[in-house]
Order: sequence, then structure tokens, then C-alpha cells
Amino acid sequence: MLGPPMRLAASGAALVLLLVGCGGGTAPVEAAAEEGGKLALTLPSQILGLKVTLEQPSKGLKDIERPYFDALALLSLRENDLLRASLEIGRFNSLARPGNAGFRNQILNKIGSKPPEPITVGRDTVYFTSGNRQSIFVWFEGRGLFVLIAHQDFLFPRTLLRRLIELEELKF
Amino acid sequence: MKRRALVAVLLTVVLVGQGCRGGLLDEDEELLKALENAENDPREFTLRFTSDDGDTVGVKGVIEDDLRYSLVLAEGNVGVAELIVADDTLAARALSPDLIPQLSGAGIEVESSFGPVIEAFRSGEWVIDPSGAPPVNLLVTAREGSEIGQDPIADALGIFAYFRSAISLAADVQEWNEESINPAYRGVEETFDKPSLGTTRYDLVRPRLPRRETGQPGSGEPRLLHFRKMAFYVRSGRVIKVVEEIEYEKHIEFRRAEREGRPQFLLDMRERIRAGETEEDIVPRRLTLEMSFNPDIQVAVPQGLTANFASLFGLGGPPEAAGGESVAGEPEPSPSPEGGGASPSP
Repeated sequence: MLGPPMRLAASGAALVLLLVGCGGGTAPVEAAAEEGGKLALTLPSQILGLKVTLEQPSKGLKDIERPYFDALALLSLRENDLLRASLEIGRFNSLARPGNAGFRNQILNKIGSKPPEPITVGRDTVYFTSGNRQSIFVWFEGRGLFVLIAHQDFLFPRTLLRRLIELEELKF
Repeated sequence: MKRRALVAVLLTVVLVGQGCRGGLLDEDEELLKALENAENDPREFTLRFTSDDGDTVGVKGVIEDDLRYSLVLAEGNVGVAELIVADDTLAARALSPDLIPQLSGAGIEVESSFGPVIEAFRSGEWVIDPSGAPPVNLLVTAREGSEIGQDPIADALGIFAYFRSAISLAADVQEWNEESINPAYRGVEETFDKPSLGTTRYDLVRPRLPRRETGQPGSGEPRLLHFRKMAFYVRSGRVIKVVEEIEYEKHIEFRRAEREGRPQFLLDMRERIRAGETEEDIVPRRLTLEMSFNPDIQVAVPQGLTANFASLFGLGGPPEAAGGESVAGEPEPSPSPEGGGASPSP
């Protein structure tokens, strides 16, 4: 049985695994059903000219330790076939305390190669860090955790970030 | 009787000491919270650097949020350039092309393909680089104290990170009190304005100067932090003004050493600073940041010539790049965000 810190670590690792290990599924975003831990989403088919696709994680969600999420989704944002960015969305369950700064910090500390630093985008706080040639933006919205990973060769990561933050469909 | 008096004095010292320690922790937290409140709100600001010889460099800015802002750079009272950043887009125009080396042709060679861009700047036009915004890292990475004042754009963007770093390096944070028997700065060293009614001032207490080498390499080396005086003015829970002064000639420990003719270590240290022989440059300067807040601030990108020009000025690069990491090269047709990243703009 994992204690809370270990479970959090596993949960954070799961997020990263999902983001890195996305496959090339073609399921329409609108058709995603909320079952077996998947998150139901209805999103535009394109955002900022990038094709939005709900991806199938390379590992089954059942295999992933995720005590603080009741649903997860992974989206890819592609320009033609080129992956420009990924968006991981987790919906917190009743055990999670996303309104608590300490809890948020524990989640944040599992993401990226350096501790994410807060910046303000509109009225929202977004946490910024970097990975291997990647910009990583993390934000909390209601019961949701959002992790946007933009590849270094994508020229408009900040514009994409703002579009995603402003999307009504991503507020829950 | 003497013994009782001694015990009473010791008890008082211990109690006062504990009281101070608790209070100082609170002041530290209050100041950091007020800094955070200011940083999170849309605002206008003026940042001025004054060197020891009186030269002034200034930045006036309007911040909608950390990714949307405008900056006007000035030398003395003369505007040099104006920048507007909106997410990934950088717009710029030259207010005094002759003061910008890349445009005046003095000192810096640029690719000939930048010709149209330089012409546009020289004629005062706006030039728009859709993906030329400065890296986000400039906002979140604290610059070294000795770097401050060398790059006004980086200074303006990273000033809050610098302040947080200064607070963490200070020996303590003290709320200013006119009747304090142990103020952070006293006599000729107190050069900051008294707070107005309704404003609280917090002062950073400098660490004591090193007394000698203690065996650790560099342990006797003076640092900028030993000479950094900094006062924060807080009103309605937000920092509204910050003044920093780097100064060593009037430092109380140097004055005392000069008066008493010892310790020689400190007198030698002052000579090394004067001669510029310290590991970290300790150059006198004064920095002033003043802010006012307005929730309705909006920053918009103007119309102008579209071209990738950010690298011409060492700006741009991906969000995670360190400042000035972009590679200068010839301008290319500019992609637009709506085109998905690779399509030429209409």
C-alpha cells in the first residue's frame, strides 16, 4: 500500500508517462465517453490551426496509480502529422484538495525538470517550467489539472496556452 | 541584588529577542505576500536606474499580465524604443534610432537581409514579429545583483524575481519605525523617504561584512548583498514602490573601521572594492520602481511591417530559453499563430 507522498509521486509520474507515451489514436474528441476513467470532453476539432485529437495512452489507465484523479484525458495538437503540443487533463476526485497550496505544490513538484514558477495569464496563475526542448505550462481550474507541453520548435506556445485557458469546454 | 538585576536583564534580552524573531518572520511573510499581490495585478510602472555618475536609464511599462505588456525604454529623458508583447508576438518601434547600435550602424554589423526591417525602424514604423516575444524564463529567473542595470528589458521583466532573491539573501526584514532603536539604516545611510500615512515601509537588513577568511574559499569576500539597501513601500496590501541603493563608502562598518583605524581587513576590503578588485562587481547605483494598479489595462498589438526581427536585438527564442539565447540570422517570412505555425502570414 503506498502512502500519500508515494502515491502522489506515482500520480505525477503517470501524468508524465501519459504525456510522453501518447499513441496516434484517431477517436473524435467529441465522441469521448466517460467510462473506465476517461474524461468526456467536447472540444473544437482545431485550436490555433492545430488538429485536436484524443489520444489513447500507450498503457491502460487501469495500470496507472492515480489516487487523486477520477478521470484523465490526453490530447494531441498536431500541425498536419507533426506533433506540436500535448495537453494532459486530470479531473481531481473527492480525495484531492486542489484549493490547497501545499497539495498543489506537491503535484507541481512532480512535473518538469525544475520546480514550476508561477506566472499570471489573465486572472489565472499558470506554472511554467521546461523539459527536454519543451515548455511546460500547468494550471488548475476548478477540479481540473491541465498540463500543456509545447515542443520547442512550435512558435506559438503562449498563444496556444491562452486559447486553452479561455476555452469554456475546459472549465469544470 | 546585582545578581537579580543581571537575571532580569538577561530575561528581558531573551524575551525581546524571541519577540523580535517572531515579528520578523511575520514581516518577511507580509512583504512577500504584498509583492505577490502587486505582481498578480494589472499595473503601470516606472523603473529607473541611476548610476553613481548620475546617468539614468528608465523603463516605463504597462502590464496586463505576464505575457501581455508594453515597455518604453529611455535614456535620461529621451525615449529610445517601445516594445509591445502579446503572448508570442513582439511589436517594436524605435523612438531614437541613433541611440540603438543595430540601427545607427555604429558598432554592430547586421545581416544585409535585415535591410527593410532596419529601414522601417529608422522611419519610426512599428515592426511585428509574430513569434519574437522574450522568453518566459526572463520573468521567473532571478538575475544576479551585478547584472541588474545592464539590460533594462530583462531587468523590467525579471524585477520581481530579483526582489524575491534580494529578500532571501537579506539578514532580515524590518518594518520601518521612526522610533526604532535598531533601524536597518541609520544616519547618513538612511537615504530613503519616510512612508506616507497609510503606507508601511519594510527594509532589508544587510548581512554583516565578512571579518576574515574562515577557511572556506571566498568566505572573506564582500558581495553585493553586503551593500544592498532596499526599502519596500506597501499600501493596501500591495507593494507600490521599491528603492534599492548599492553603496559602500558610507557603510557603517567601514566608517567605524576608518574611525578606529582597524580592523585592517575591512580597510583593505574597501580599497579592493574601490579598485574594482572584488570577485563580484560592487558598483554604486540606485534603482527605483514605482507602480500603480488598474484592472482595466489592456495591451494591444499595433499594425506594422511583419518580419522576424527579434534576433536582431537578441530577443525572442522559445519560452524556456535563457535571455538572449536566440540566434541572430536573416529574417524569414513570418508565420502567424492562426496559420498553425508554418504558414506564411497573409
